[in-house]
Amino acid sequence: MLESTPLFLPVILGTSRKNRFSEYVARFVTEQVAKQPNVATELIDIRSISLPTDDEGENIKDAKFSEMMNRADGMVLVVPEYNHGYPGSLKHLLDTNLKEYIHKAVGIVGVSAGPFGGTRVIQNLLPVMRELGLVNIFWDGNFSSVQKAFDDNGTLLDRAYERRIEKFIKELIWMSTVLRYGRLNISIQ
Amino acid sequence: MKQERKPMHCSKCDMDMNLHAEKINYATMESKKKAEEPVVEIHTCPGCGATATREAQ
Repeated sequence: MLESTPLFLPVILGTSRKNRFSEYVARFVTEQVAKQPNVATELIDIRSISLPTDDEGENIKDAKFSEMMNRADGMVLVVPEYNHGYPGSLKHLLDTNLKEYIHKAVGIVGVSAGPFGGTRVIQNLLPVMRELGLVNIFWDGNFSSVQKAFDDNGTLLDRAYERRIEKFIKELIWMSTVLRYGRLNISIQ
Repeated sequence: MKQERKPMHCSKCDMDMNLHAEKINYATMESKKKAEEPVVEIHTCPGCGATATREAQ
């Protein structure tokens, strides 16, 4: 039965900007998620998804992305902070689905060049997550001064992030497991 | 009085789906210009995890 199959927890890289440091973070997080027992993951790069810009919402669904969101039990968003907000390209993509997200877990990893680790972009995303029907976990990832956290090959320099992300992922797995049970077994009526 | 509706059937594995959420879909409201808020039911198949929606009564 579905309840015994591995959780699917994709990682969404939420920026298409050239020379993005968030890509290093997303690759690192994906590797850490992949190490967890009974969990499958995949890195979804929003740069690889072409969406029209003359319409918005569910009218412009990308079939492959929707299938991944439908299959997902939870997800990680790796999001840089641009002018205190989230990239418009990420919001444009997220808005193309709705039922695929409902009662699924989400954890947000904020990325910034400054000292605050994307805390402002995480706070700005919370009402969006809620309206999409996603359930946000109470652990965040915070990568501050990201340009110093990795070397030029994308290798993590500060090993303290491994322990922090481990806690984040454990909470995401717990919430995703509980919500999957609920989606499959608990009716609102 | 609200009538009990039949559960949705999964188109992939023919199992009864679980109704686990109802949500106002504002996008639908904009496109159909309905007077009432369009509430959709969210159903998930216990067999394969597929989701489906239908308008709530």
